[in-house]
Amino acid sequence: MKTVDRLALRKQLIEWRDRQCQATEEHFARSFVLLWDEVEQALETMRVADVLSGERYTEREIIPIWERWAKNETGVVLAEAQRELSKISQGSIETTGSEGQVPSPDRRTVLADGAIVATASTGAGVAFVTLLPASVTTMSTGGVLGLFGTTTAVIAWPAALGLFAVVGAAAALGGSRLLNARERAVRHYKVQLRAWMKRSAIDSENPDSLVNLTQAEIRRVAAASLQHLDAVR
Amino acid sequence: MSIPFDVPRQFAAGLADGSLVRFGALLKDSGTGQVVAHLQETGVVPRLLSGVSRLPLAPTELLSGAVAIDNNLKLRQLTSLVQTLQSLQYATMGIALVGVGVSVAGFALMNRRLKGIEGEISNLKTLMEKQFRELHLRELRARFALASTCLERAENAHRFREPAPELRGAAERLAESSGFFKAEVKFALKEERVNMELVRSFTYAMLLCDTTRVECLVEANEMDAAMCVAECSGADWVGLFDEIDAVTLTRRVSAATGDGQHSYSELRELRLRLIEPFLQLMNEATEAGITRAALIQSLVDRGIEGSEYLQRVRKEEKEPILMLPALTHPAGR
Repeated sequence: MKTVDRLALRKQLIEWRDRQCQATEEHFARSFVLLWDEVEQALETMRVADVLSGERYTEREIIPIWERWAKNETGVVLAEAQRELSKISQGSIETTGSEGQVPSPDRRTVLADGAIVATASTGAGVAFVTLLPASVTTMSTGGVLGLFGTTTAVIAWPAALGLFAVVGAAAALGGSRLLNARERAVRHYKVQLRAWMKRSAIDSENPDSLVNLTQAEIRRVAAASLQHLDAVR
Repeated sequence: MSIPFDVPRQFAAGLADGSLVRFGALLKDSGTGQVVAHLQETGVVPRLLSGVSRLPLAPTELLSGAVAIDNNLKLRQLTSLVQTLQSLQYATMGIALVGVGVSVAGFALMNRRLKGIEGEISNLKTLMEKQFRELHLRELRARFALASTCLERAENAHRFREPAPELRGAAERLAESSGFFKAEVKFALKEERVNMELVRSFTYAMLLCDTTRVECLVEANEMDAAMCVAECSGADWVGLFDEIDAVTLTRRVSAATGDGQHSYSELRELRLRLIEPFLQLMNEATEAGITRAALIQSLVDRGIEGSEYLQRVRKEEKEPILMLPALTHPAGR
């Protein structure tokens, strides 16, 4: 492959990486609003008994919302990235003709791993990405979420409900004091929960946030593809 | 020897309908991928841009005050340059950093630009932290002085009875300067807190050194060496910025400003205003740099001497960019 053609493909891969990293950040920032809406709705129906049930409430009501959101949104982002990647680079292989060389029907590109890709001069182009090993280009939602789970999820859920004691004491008194205590407990929980979710989902300073792990997956694929491209002679 | 240049207007229709695409300084047939023509800037470009202290980002900015327009001829030439760049689908003025085709900026202008870059770094002194202690500044001054001396050597080479050895010598020493600036860019980009002004200044200094090396070698008719330098330095530029994406660079640059804590919208604004334009500029500069090797090869194939070629394009007074048809193209035969 000529330097110019290699460079053109390289450019497409770099642009893809940059565009997808950016899109990931924007997508998660936007959809976090929806996640929080859903969480807030759930919290509105939180009863005193839920407050008193401690972590069981989080496990029963909040974690499923969180997990569904994380899975869906990561899936959407990676599927879009995969779709865009598969477009790179239709027609790139048959355009490797150097100045003065008229492409012949039996021109071939020999890849580093020995595979030979025949490219007809008039036929449809071969996408560069189809020439890459599947392990290079397959982006896995499960992989990202697996890493996400081992680094952040569950272990650091807000201990929350720090006002249990207060609620417990108020319970003995009943009536409006109990309701006020519930309000305060929910408010406190909400603040903690939002901070935790933001940090775990969209905080760019947190290397283990969902947005960073998804971007890392995109970068991994880009780096592997570039490496493969360099190996194509 | 007459050089069969075309003007960009002849390819405008092909570019507009998509049958031709520009990549770096090459015009290619989008169907077959064959090179149709090579782009080459002329002496008009450096003459127009000689007074520009800070490179405008987009071609259209040239007409909005970036360049002092003091007469009608200059206005016409500038308008023609902007139109040509637009028709060739240049989004940024990255090509002004490295030239289109073989740079014809001339060594004196390059030296002025280099001194401008050095001045910008000196002005950053107050912002600099520990890595910019006096010792480092002294080292930087020495490196800039070396590069500047090389450019003076190249500028005065024509006064020698045998200019070629002098030009070769200058090119050789410029390689050292370029290597130094490249290493500084690499180091700066790896830091968790990136000073963008510094990265930009070192990058421009590196581009300038590499570009001038090629100009020296073409002038000295060392075409094989010029081709090799064009291709290798282009590959180096690619490698420098490929590893870092706009999102990461934005975070690192933001970490170096203020208290390092920035909201999502602040990061976005920084990325759109500073980081993406810079990377886009670099992208165009890199493509222009690496594709100049193909132009030099074409000159060799045609038997055109480097010094003769440069003389011809420097003398051009009307067209800012000329096209050298590829040998396989009907117009190039």
